[in-house]
Amino acid sequence: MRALIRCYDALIIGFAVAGAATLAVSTALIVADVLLRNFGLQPLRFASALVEYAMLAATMGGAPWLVRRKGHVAVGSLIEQLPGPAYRTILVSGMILSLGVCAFLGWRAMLLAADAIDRGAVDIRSIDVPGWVAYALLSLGLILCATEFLRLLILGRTALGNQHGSGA
Amino acid sequence: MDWPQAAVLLLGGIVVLMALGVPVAFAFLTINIVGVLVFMGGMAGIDQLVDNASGTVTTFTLVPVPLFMIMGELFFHTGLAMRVFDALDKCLGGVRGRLSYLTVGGGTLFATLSGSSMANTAMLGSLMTPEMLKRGYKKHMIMGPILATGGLAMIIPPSTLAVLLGSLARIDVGALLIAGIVPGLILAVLYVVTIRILIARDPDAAPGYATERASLSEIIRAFAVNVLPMGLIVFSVIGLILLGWATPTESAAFGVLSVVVLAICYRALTWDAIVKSLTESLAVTAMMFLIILGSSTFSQVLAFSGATSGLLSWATSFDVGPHVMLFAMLLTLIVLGMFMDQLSMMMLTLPIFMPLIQSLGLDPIWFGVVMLLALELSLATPPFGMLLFLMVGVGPPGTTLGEVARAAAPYIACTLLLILLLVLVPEIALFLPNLMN
Amino acid sequence: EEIEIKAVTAFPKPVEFAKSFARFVEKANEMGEGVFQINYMGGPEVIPPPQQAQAIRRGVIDMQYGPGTYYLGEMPEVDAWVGSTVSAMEGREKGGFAIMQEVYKEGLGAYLLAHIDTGVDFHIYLTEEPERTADGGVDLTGLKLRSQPIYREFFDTLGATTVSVPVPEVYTALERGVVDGIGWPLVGITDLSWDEFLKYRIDPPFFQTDLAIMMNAEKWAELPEEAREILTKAAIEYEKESYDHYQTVIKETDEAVRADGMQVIDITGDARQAYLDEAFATAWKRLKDSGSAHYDDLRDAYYDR
Ligand code: NA
Ligand code: NA
Repeated sequence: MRALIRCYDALIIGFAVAGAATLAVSTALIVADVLLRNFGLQPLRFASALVEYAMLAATMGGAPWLVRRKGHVAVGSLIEQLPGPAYRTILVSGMILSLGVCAFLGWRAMLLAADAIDRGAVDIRSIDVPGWVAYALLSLGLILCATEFLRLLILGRTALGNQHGSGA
Repeated sequence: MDWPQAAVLLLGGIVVLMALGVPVAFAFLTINIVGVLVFMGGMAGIDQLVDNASGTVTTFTLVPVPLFMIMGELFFHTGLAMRVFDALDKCLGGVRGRLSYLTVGGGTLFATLSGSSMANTAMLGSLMTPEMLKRGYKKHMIMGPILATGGLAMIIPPSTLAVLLGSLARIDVGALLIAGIVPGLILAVLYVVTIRILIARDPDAAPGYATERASLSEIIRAFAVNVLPMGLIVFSVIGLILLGWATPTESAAFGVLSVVVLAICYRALTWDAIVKSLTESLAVTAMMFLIILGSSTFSQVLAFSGATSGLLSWATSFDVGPHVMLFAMLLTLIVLGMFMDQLSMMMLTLPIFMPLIQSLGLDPIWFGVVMLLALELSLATPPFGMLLFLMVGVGPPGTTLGEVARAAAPYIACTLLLILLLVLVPEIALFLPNLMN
Repeated sequence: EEIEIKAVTAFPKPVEFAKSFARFVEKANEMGEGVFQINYMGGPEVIPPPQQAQAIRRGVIDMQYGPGTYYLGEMPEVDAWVGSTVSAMEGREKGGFAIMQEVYKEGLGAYLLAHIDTGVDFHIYLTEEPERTADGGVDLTGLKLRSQPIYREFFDTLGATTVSVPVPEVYTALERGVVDGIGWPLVGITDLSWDEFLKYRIDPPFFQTDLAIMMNAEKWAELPEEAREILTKAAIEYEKESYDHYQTVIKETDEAVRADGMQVIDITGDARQAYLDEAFATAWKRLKDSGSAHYDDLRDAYYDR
């Protein structure tokens, strides 16, 4: 069980690291592409398609990790006025709702990915990208968000956090 | 379902969920499911929702947001920012609230390079916030100027939004871009005045610590060593665009590169700085983009339900004079702007607004500028304002949405004042484009 | 009671081609009064263009209008329209439209109603005068052109470098010289004020618009016989009307941009043939490489060079 938890934690952190890496790689790709173009060489055709997909990859790679560190912006000021038990109930309900929504949409995205593979769908950009990629990224990100909400609920870490902020 | 009911269900739903503390992104996803089930119907509608969502952030126009974020973060974590601000302290002496003014000055300069308000705010926020906190600025003196100046990027050319507006509204794009210059600069001046007033009312809001007046040689040295080399960053971003080497989006990557090169020169590029910069950039990027994913699909559900077109035709159905009609149009934009993204707003409203503008005998270029200001305003108005969310991400730790909204309020008043000025004296916007013709 | 047909377009309402669809809607609604009404809901603000074909398949909307290139990945036969040299009316006469109806059914699960707004070709526009080759052609080596999927192979064969630039940034990119030119239809070049910088147009034009109106297959099947007849009649008539309309628009636009100082680089003689051969070959090669079973029939119907 403990090994499983460690694996899972590594997965969430790994996804975030991968998300951050896609941002760094995007920077490098754009620089290389522009330099090649301006030195009269053939630019990297795949660069713009990859960078565009990197935006989705970074979003979905970072989203579950953000759930963990309470980095998704929320309005806390109104319910904070409520008495303790009511405040907690509302927060827990909100998290269960978020969990359900992420799991549901993640499941549908997975079916769409499978359907796209079936149809052999292709997203034609600066290069051809297989049609299932975007759905798969969406599905993975949302399902892991759901499991992260579940983790917070199990651990009882329901309070709205304030870990975001560049000074944090 | 009639449009008022649809509007109440969708708009009311999102407001309630947000008020209940559901994270903004997930609040949108939840309401989207409800809206789809009611208006599109069944699993087919849900699949359409997911399908639509898959394409919302895979676009090149969003790329400057993370890149300028990384640039600002690296600038701070490598210590380059501190060098610059210390040197500027030596040069400027003890002007109270100088970093707030610097934010407006630097942000306005940056607005002449960047076409994206989000990218501009992300850059300013990651760059200025940590330094200002360290130097004892109150939160609202940090966030207000950053958020307000960030929004200038779409008024002062280049501006992707102005280009889209011009093309959708059939306004001469070049003239519209030029028409934004003077109002943008006036807005920057109004921000400076606002900061001055805020400091006068609450001197403790910004530190006025006395720095020792440095000798001239010291000032020159500090400037040459710590400020001048930063010109490389400015060149990488502006220069490459002006030389035609890179598009505004691409130049963001060179901004990052230039900070890396400078940090290497100052022997300040540490692994730790890189990791921290990427971590913070990812945190803000993922937060913002997931909201964009949720909110742009929300705009679509709203449009599909007929709520937006119903509201629009109702608001513009009254037979009134030009100024009242203009007021109704602005109010519509501000209401829609509380919930929708700007591009969707333009696509929805322009087919209705432009014929009205023509029949009222108003100048389309002038209206374009007013509309841009209203769109900029919508970024900073609660409950749904992308710059507000962004500021929570890049602002001081523990910042709440309410604090950001309150910090933004005086600057929103500036924009409203400018709109009023434009109504009274249209030449403010029109004189430059007229000069060109 | 009238049947509601929910329609969405790939273009925002103010764009020229969306206006053409609005004219079709007006015409069809007039003819179908008392039987059906098309409800033109809007454009990309309702459903993003790349997802509209799937929305038709799923039945979320009933009718869609836009370029076929958005679903080129799923239905390579769109290239038969991109590479077509005949009008929609001729294509219909030669049986091409019937084949495409079959293709839409197989590829997208949709009913193809009309192939409208044909007769609009594409040009290469440049900010500077291109080098000419000895035989009178153009040499675009070293020039940077804005790339779009349908042109990418053709621009390669001309020796140009391709750059990805999103539409809102094209204005700045042209102004600053990040790109030296673009490929665009003759109609609509002035819409985004790009003609401020694009001072040269290469003639002859190549390719052709691939704009279609399709419907959800079930919705179509469920319509009463009368509604289907009216819609088909409206579609056939509008194919011709829109073609004629754009012939006038093309003539007017051409005169207007020339009067505004746009230089036309006219490639003539053998070089003209070679230029067109290269252009059209890229579209038909894509279709051939896709392994489509309809390649030969579509080429017979839509290509007469
Ligand atoms: Na700008
Ligand atoms: Na807003």
